[in-house]
Amino acid sequence: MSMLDSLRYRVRALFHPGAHARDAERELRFHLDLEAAQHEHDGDAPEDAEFAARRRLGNKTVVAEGMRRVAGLAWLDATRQDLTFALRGVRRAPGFSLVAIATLALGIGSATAIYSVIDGVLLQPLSIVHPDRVLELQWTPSTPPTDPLQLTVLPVSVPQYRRWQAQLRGFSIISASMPTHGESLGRAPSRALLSSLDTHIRQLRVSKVSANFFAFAGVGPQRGPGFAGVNDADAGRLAVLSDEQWQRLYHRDAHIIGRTIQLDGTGYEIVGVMPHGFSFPNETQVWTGLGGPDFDRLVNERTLVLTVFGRLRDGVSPEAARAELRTNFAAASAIEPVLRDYKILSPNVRKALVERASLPLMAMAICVGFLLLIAAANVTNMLLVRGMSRRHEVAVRLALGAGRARVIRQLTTESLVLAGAGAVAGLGVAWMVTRFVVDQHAIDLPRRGLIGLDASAVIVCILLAVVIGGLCGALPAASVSRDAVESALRRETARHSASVQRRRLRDALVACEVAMSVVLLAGAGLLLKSVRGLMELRPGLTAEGLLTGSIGTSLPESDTIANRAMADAIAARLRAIPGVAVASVSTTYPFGGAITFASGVQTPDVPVTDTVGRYTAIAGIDRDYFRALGVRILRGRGFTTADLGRTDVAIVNEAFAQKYFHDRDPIGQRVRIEHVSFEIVGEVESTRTSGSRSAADPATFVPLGASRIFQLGMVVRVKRGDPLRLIPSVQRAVHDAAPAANLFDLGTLSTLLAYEAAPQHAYLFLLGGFAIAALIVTAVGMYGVISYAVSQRTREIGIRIALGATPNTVRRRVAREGLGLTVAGVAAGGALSIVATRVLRSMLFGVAPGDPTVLAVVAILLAAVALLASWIPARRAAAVDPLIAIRTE
Amino acid sequence: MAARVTKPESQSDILPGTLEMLILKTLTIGPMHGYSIAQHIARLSKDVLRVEQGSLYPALERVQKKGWATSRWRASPTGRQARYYTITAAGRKHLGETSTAYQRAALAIARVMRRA
Repeated sequence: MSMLDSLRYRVRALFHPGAHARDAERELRFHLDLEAAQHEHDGDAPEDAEFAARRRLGNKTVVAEGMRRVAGLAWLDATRQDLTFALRGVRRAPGFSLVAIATLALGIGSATAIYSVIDGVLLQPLSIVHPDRVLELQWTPSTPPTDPLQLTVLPVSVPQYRRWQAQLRGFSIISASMPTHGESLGRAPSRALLSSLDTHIRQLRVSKVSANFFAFAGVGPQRGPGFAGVNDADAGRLAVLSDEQWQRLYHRDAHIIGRTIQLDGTGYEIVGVMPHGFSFPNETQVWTGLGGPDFDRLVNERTLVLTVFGRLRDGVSPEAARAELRTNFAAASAIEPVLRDYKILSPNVRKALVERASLPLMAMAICVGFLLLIAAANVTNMLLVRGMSRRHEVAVRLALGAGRARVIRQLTTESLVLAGAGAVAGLGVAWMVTRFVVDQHAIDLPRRGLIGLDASAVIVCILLAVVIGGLCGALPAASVSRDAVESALRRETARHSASVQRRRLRDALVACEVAMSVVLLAGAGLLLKSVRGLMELRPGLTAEGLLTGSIGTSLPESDTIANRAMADAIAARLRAIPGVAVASVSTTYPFGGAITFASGVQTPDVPVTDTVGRYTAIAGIDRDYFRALGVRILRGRGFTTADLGRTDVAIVNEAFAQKYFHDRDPIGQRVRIEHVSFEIVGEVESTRTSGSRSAADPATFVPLGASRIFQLGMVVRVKRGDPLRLIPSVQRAVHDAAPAANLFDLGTLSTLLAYEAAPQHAYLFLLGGFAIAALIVTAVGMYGVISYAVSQRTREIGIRIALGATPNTVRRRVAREGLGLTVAGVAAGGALSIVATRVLRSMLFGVAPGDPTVLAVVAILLAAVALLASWIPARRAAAVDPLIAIRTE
Repeated sequence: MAARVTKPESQSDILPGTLEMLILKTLTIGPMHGYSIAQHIARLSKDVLRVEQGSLYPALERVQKKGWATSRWRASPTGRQARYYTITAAGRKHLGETSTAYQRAALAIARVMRRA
C-alpha cells in the first residue's frame, strides 16, 4: 500500500499546495504552543516560555520551507514566482509583448496548419479497407517524353481493363472509376451539373465506378443496397450519395432510397448512401454506375478513360502481382501492337496518392519552416534587446544571491509565457490557414476532407511553443546573466566587450532573418513570374462566351454515317437557339472532351519502322469547330463543306508541325497515321491552357466523317452574356435532335481554363502570404535592432551633434548600419534561394530557380524595407538633443 | 512532476536516515503528533538525542512521501486539533529492514571498538 499512500500524499501536495502550507503552519503553531506550555510548566514566565519555544524551533519559515521542499513544492513555488514575474513583465511592456506574440503566432500557427495538412493527407488512414493491399494500375508512355513536365501517368483504356479483369489471377477484385477528364492527370473528377428541384445549379464531383467498386473498397453503404447484386450493364442509371451530400441535398431524408437525382439532365435512381467519411477516390460526392451503352462503346484501345484499382488476392505479394502484370502485358502487346507505346505502372494506392501530394506539401513545409525560423530569430533578438535594459535588474538579483541558473530560468519563463500566448493566437492562425488550404481545391491535395485541427495538431502547437519559447529565451537569458555577472565585477570595460559580443549575435540573427526572407520572397517571386508567363501565353482560343459539353450517342461506333447525321442534326438545332453565335459538334472539345491518341505518325522522311512513340491526339471535327473556339488558322485553310465528305484530309496544330515537320510548311504534305494517309490542308494554333506548364500535344484534326465516333463534344459560342444561361435551351435542343443521346459535363470553357491555372494561383497566394508575413516580421526585427542600437548610442550621437554633425550625417550613419545587415543577408539568402527554390521547379513556367530578375527585385524590395525600418530610428537619432543625450547615463 | 531536491534537507546531529528510523520506531507505539514524537525520542534517549524541529518536520514529510506513514488531523487530549501520524504496513516493513541493518552495523562497530 506504500505506493498508494505515497501517491495520495504527492497528489495532495501538488494539487492543494495551499492546504499543505496551512497544515504546516498549524502543525508548527501547535508544536510551539505545546513547547511553550512545557516551559511554563517548568516554571518559566509565559513570555519567556514562548520565546524559549521559538528559540528551540528555530526560524519557523525555514522549517516550513524545508517541509515544502520535501513535499516537492519548492519547485512549484519558484515556477509560480517566475510566472507572476513573467506576466508582470509582459504587462509592463505591452507593445513589445504584442509584437512578440504576434510574431510567434504567425510562425507557430502556420507550422501547425501545415502539420494538420500533412497529417490529413499523408498520415490518416485511407477510407478503403487495407489500402496496403491495393495497387493502382496505370499506364505510362514507353518512351519517356522529352519534356519531363509532360504528364507521365495515363488513364487506362476500357479494353485493357476488361483484359485485366478476365486474365489476372493475382487480384481478387479489379475495379475501375472514370473521371471524365482524368483525375490521374491532376484534374478534378468529372463535374456534373445537378439540376435539382430548386432552380440553382450545383456542381457535384461525380465518379463513375464499376459495380464491384464498393465490394472492392470493402466499405458498404450505410443505407440501401448500393450496387450489390447489380452487374455493370444495369448500374448505368444508379447513383450512390456520400453522407455529406445526403445531408446537404436531402437533409438526411429517411426515404432517400429509390428517389431520383438529376445529373446533367438525366435521372439516376438513388440506391445507397455511403458512411460518413467515405469519399474515395478523390473526394467523390456521388458515385454512379460505369456501365450502360455509353460505356460499352468505349472499345478503342487508345481512348484512355479509366482509373483502375486492383485488390491483391490473399497470400499474393505485391511483387508477385506486378510480375504477373508484366507478363500479361507483354502477351497482350504481342497481339495488340498499340500497347507497345505504353508501360505499366502499379504503385500502391496510398503511395500513388502521397507522391502526387508530396511536392506541394514539401514546398509548403519549407515555407513554414523558414517563417518559423524567422519568427524565432526575431523574438530572440527582441529578447536580447530587452535583456540589455534589464541588465541592471539582473545584476542586482545576482548580487543578492540568486543563482545564475535561477535567473536564466526566470528569464526563460518569460519567453515561454510569450510563446504560450503565441501558440494560443497561433491556433487561430492555423485554423485560418487550414481553412484556406482546404477550400482551395486548386491545390492538388487528396483526401482534403480529413484535414483539420485535431488534438494532435494542438499537441504539435504546444510542443512548438515550448521548444521555440525555450530556445528564444535561453540564449538571451544566458547572455544577459553572463554579462551582468561581468559588469557587476568589472563595470565599464567588461560591459563594453560583452555588449560588442552580443551585438554581433543580434546582427547575425537579423542577417539570418533577411536571408530567409530572401528565400521566401524569391519563391513567391518565381511563382509570380510563372503565373504572369502563363497569363501571357495565348491559350490558342478565345475562352470567353463558350459553353462546352459531352454527348454520349446511343449509336454503334461503326455506324459513322448515322453518328455524323446525328452530330449534324444536333449542331443544326443548337445553331437555331436564339443567342447562339456559332455551334459545333465534333468528337471532342479542348480541355474536357474524351482524348483519343493515335500513334505511328509517318511523314515522308521517316522510315516505316521507326514510328514508335510518334503519337498525336486525333479528333474528328465539323466545319465550325475552329470558328466556334476562336482558334487561329496559321497556314492553309480550315475544312470546307466539300472537305467534310472526304476521309483523306487533315489539319494539324503547330505542335504537330514543329515535332514532325521541324517547322517546315506542312501544307500539301502527306502524313500516315495508323496506316491511313492524309493530306495536310491547314495548320492551326496549338490550344493549351494558361495553366498547363507543358508544351501542347501534337494534334491532328480530320473531318468528322473520317473519324470513329463514340462520343461527341459540343462547343457553343454565345452572342453575349453568361453562357450558362443557355443550358436549358441547349439541353432541350440536344434532346429534340437526338432523344436517345446523353448530354453531360456541361459548363463554360472559362471554368475549365481557370481550373487549369488555379494551382499556380493558389500556391502563389499561399507562398505570397508567407513571404509577406516574413517580410513584415523581418522589418520589425530590423527596426527593433537598429532602434535599440540608436538608443544605446544616444550619448555618442549627442556628442557628435554637439561637435557639429548635421542631422543628415547622423541619419545616414544609422541607416548605413541597417543596410550593411541587409546586404549581408541578401547575399546569403540569394545563394540559399537558388538551392531551396528547386522544389518549386515543377510549378514554374518560363523561369528557372535563381532567376536574376526575381533575385534583383527581391534584393531591392528588402533593401527598401530595411531602409524604412532604419529610417524611423535614424530620424529619432537626428532629433537627439545633445544636452539631454549627454546627461543620460 | 518530479521535484529533485539535491541539497541536504537539514543538518542533524543524528546520522542521516536514522531520524526516520527513530520516528517509525516511535510510531509503533501508536499514532502520535510531532511534538510527542520529539518528546518521546528525547525521553527514551535520556535527552541525548535532541531532535531539532527543523529536522523533525521535514523528516515527517519525507516518511509520508515514502508511504511509510500517513497523517490525519484529529482532536488531541486537550481538545485542540493536532496532526497525528500513523505508521503504515510499508513503514513497519521498512523499519524491520533498517533496524536489522542498524543492529548489524552497531554490533560491528562495537566489536571493532573493543578490539582496537
